[in-house]
Amino acid sequence: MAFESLNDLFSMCYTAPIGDIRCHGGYVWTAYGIATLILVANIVAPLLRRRQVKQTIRRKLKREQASL
Amino acid sequence: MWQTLKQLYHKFGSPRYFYDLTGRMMPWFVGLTCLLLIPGLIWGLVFAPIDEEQGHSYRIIFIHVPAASVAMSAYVMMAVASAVGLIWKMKMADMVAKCIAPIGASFAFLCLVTGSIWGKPTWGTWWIWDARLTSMLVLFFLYVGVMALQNAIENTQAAAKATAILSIVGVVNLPIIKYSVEWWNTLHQPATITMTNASMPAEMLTPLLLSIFGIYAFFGVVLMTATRVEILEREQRSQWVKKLIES
Repeated sequence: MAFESLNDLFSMCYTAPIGDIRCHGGYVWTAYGIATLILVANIVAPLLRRRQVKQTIRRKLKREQASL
Repeated sequence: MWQTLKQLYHKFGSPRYFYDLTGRMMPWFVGLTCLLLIPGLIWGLVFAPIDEEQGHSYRIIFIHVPAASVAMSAYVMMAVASAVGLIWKMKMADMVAKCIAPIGASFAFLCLVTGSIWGKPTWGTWWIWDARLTSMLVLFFLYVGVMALQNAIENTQAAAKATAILSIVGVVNLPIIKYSVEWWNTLHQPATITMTNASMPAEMLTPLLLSIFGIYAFFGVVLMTATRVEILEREQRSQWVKKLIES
């Protein structure tokens, strides 16, 4: 692991070669958060549409059978 | 040779065959995604060593580069599928092209956003109008344009034709994105991985490659799912879909 503690992992602070302390946790975690959201949305969107499409087809089929 | 090609055309042109085939391929792609993408991202986020120059901010690369790569490849795929649909009137190819657009757009967007977040600590700015960034933004707009055009035209065939032409013309943007870092002076760093060499130690390169291959597998899963839904909707009058829905 590249971090000494959980706190370290969240803040991602380190001492830069010039000697100042820099923290990149906010940037990195935001980027990973947005990535997770977009990946999940990509999975959920077609699944929701599938449910909707199947429901519509089922309704149409019922109507067809009823009118026969 | 010609005969085999013709057979393949008819096979892949059949929505039912495509539906069955992708149904069988799906578990493998889901497995690959879990095996590659998730370990790749966690490895990059937690275990890869810190970068000497950029510190921890470079960890964004494990999302940024795969997203950029898949956004560009997906565009090529969309243009090729559109061209096949346009030239050989293959409905199945039109469906695939239509389903790629929103997925590609989401990855282009992810690439832009993560790049912007990475730019702040590295360059001191969220955005500049430099060649790489601007051409990537154009890619995102091309995807959005294709989606808008698709939605604006009611007639399915006319929509496919119009979007096909836009997609194919837009391909000109891809070499511009790829070579922008060589042709112009830009803030953006040059390619990390090329065919012959990688400017990264193995502890960083391995998770990056895992994430890249993983995101392609993920793209496969999403594209197949979306296309299968599209098939169900368009083929709802056919017997096999009716049977499938009733069962």
